[in-house]
Amino acid sequence: MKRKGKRIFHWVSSQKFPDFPKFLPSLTLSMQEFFKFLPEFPNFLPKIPRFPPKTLNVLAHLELLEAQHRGWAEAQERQEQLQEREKFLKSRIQELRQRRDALREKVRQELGNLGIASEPDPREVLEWKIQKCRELLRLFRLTGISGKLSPHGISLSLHTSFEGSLLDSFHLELQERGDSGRFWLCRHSVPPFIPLERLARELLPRNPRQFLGILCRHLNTFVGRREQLRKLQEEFPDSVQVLSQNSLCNFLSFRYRIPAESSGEFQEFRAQLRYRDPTGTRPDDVTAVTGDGERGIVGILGVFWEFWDFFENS
Amino acid sequence: MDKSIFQPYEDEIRALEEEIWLLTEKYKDIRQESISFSDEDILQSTRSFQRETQEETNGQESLSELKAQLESLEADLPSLMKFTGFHFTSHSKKTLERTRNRTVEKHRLSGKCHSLSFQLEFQLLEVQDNEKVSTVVSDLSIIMESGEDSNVSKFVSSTEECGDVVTFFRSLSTYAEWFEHRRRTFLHFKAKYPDIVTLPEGLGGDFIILRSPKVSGFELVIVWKIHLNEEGTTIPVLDLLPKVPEQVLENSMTSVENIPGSFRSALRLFGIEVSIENLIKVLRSEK
Repeated sequence: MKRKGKRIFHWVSSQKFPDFPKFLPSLTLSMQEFFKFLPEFPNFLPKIPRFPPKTLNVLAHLELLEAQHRGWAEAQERQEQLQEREKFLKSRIQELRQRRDALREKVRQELGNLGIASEPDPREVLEWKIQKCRELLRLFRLTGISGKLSPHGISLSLHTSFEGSLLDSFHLELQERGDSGRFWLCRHSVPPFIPLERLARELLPRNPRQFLGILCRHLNTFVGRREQLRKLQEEFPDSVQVLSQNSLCNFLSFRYRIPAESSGEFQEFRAQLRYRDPTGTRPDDVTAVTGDGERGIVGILGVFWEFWDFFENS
Repeated sequence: MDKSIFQPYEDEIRALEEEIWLLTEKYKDIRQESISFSDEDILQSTRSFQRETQEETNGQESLSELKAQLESLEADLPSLMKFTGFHFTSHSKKTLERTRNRTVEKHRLSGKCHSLSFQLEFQLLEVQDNEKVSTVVSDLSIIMESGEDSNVSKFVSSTEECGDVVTFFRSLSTYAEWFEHRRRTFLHFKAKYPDIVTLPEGLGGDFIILRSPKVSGFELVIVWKIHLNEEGTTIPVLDLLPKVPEQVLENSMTSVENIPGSFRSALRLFGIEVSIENLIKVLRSEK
């Protein structure tokens, strides 16, 4: 309470007045009490220019005090909030620290007694076995074909890879109609330039595994070519420019700018690659054309093949 | 303005929460990977009739839900094995590193593809980058049962170098199918014509000998090699080597010389089984 009193009148004067009543904030101040001290106000006021000695605007003064108090009360509230938040954060840290230490102890114990299983709790055993099955199913991704049973058949995912990294996956849904043991293709996410329907028609009813094998080969070589193209552009952004490529990436043309060793100039030539067999890993057809027409082809081709080998092996 | 005062507290809280997550995952990994329950334990658990009340289940799945999950997963595995031809017989995994975005695991996997068994060890790195998950295989080591075969070992070593597990599995699948096909064909003929057919190297061998029952010393050796080149393509090669005693040679040299050629054409037209069947019939009726 005393503090509050000090607060309000702080701006009025810092002097102490023995007769100055210590009374409550202006909200509880009665008008009479206020008017009692009114004549004395002018004595203090010269310091405050806003408060002209002649016109005592009491109401304005009251409003000002109220606003002061409100501001002060808000500040007090904020202070309390900050203190509470600090307390909360500290206790949360304490709780987390305890949990962390308990876990550290658990892990250390577990590392200590490996393999010693207590009485198997059925829930734990089931969860363990479920996790094991899930991991095995995940591993099937690495074989190129994974999937799971669906109500009428099976939904498969074909995974492609190039040099150790798994790339795109394509999905197929096969349905088994009746008990014939034959499968029909339902839905799929294979791009249209892969001859999926033809392969399905020819192979799927009789030999699903062969169908999957050939389809995998198509998809893998396509993704492999696309990946090689991307790597080529990434590694040699200045020397090689891709002029055109089709969706299947089996018809590509590039422009090469190779600095010639002797003259320091650039040798430019264009090359076209065509892979007739979509499942082949090497192009069937390579044409190279120098900037000034077909003249320097024989000499250029030697350079080209060296360049090609260099790209392939890098 | 208030926020900056509490920044160190909030940082510590975040760090502690992260550490708790990591420790929880590590604990789960250690439990999963070091313990193994026997099949009886598993059977017992599936049969347990513990009734759990709502409070006990505590928001987790009930025992019956877990059992249903396990059943569906265990039904998926055999059908997938049927489709791919791979039977995994054992698998063990050790998590080397696990953070929010990155997991490094070491796997040991063994199994069979048709009749060929294999054993793999590799390191798997998975990085999660927004939505995309990238998987990279490294440190691949492969042991194959028929490792003595030179072209298989060349293929295996070139695959180990580039770490391409998917190509390995796909090529193995085709190779194993051809292997199986050859084995079954040899077995079929051995069972059907036991007096004529001999398999000096057994069912897994490269050749089959057709011995004429009437003319002693007259043999036809059919060589069936299955080549696996470095890119993983399987190429079967068949050829015929006649072993003819001198008297027969004197009498009908030209016809003996024609046998390999006509066998090769028969292969192209009629396939393997029919061509071999015809040869056997010729031998039987040979004078």
